[in-house]
Amino acid sequence: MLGQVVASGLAMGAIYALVALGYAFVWRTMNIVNFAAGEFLTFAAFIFVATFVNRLGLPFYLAAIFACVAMASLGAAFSRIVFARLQKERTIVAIIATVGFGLFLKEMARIIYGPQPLLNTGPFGFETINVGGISVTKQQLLVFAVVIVVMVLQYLVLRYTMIGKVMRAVAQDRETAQLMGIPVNAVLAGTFAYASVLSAIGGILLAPMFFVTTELGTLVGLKGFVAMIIGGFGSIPGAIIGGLILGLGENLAAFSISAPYKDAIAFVLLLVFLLVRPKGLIPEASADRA
Amino acid sequence: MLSVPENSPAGAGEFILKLSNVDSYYGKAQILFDLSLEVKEREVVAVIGANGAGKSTTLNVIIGRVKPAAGSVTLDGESIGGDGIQAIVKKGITCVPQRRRIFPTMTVRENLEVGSYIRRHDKAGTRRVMEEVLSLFPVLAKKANSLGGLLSGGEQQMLAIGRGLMARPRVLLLDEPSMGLSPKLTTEMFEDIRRIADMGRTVLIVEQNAYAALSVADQGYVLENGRVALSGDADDLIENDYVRQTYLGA
Repeated sequence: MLGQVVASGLAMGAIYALVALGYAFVWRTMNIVNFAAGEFLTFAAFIFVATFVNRLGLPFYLAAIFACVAMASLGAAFSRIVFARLQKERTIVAIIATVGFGLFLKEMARIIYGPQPLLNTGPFGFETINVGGISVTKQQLLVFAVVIVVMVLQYLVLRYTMIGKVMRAVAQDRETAQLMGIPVNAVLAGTFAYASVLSAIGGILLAPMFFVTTELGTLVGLKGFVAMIIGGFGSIPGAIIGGLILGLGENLAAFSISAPYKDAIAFVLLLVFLLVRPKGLIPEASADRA
Repeated sequence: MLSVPENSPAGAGEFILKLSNVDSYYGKAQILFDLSLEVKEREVVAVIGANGAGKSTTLNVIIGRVKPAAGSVTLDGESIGGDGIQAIVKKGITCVPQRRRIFPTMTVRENLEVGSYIRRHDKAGTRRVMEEVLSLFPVLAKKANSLGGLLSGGEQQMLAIGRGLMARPRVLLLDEPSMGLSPKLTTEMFEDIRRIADMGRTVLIVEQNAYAALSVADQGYVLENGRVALSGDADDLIENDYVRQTYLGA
């Protein structure tokens, strides 16, 4: 039983890690917190299930790719249209704009797709598989596989490709990057699009595990934020580790204390970290190289 | 020979960068007044002046950060006065910013690679300039995998210049390259700048350290309150009584 609790905790944690990474990327390149991240996740789950799977009848993986592309475009457009105009304002204005856009997305999901929860069992249904004596759902394994692939790809891109280096340069010093002839606004939009894709992947992976409702991403978005704070504000490896710790911690605590307290436990964990280690496990400055 | 800017000989064709009668404003405050300046191919031109004389604004006008309110800026005879930074870098002007502005958590090699962004599709050319830069500054080759932020001030200045060269500019602009460097390092760095020009590049330096800049420059301009107060051969400016008293502390 404990094995299952750990496995499902880590699977949930991997999703928090995706969302937390999105926060970290946006924070580092734009110095804002994108509070619409949870709603990007919700919206992605809806277009994935309702539009691409149910309406167009696309197979799971193809639908997933289309949903990611759609969310990337939405993220890039939001960044270009809204942030480009808010550059000269104080950052709090841009942050409030993300809150507003989040509400807009949530309402749009409700208006377009209706209030009924959607169910999508994914490619595996509720099949489980025995891994070393622990019964794990195939969906959980898919979550691990996807998140690991995303992390590895992201590392390789940031480290070894021009686009990755340019993203890092813009994050470190926008003005100087501009002096190198780098189209800074396009890079910012690209970064925001990537963060949107991370949220979208979270939504696509969650869809077969929960009912898709307009509330799907609200709590996950907040917990992703908590995960980033635990890991270290803006730190890339911190976001991953913070997500896993949070997912594992809340599941273990729910198991050993009481399940209804699960969400409360996540935020107690946040308070504990803020009191004991406010800079997080891996503060940004020392964690920049990953 | 010294001359006031109005009379400066304008041998058409040999000047690659030219500012003519430029006025420029920050908000309502006029910073540059009727400023004219010319840079010949393969020359080092030094623009000297006190704080607030308009040196940085001159660079900002050239690089496209500030639009000139009047007058023209031309590169190879083509107007670049209204262009954005990206277009200007593409056309062949790169600015090495004040205080070096190295990307601190990227390696030396990564800093250089990012510098080549605008010419990234020319892989062979990038490799060639990379080798050139690393042989010009051997210490950068030795520290290619160190983080930029861990280099000393002098090394960072070399990296900043090297990063600028990676864009293969026709004109390299240097904004206060001696800032924060010891006198010994300053001398060495200006010798490096001279070597860069001798390798066939064109350099425009904006600098408070008038002596260091003028001693490696071919031509010099003295800016005062946003106007060209004096200009001419750098050697003549160094000998000029007014320049000596005002800027060289003699």
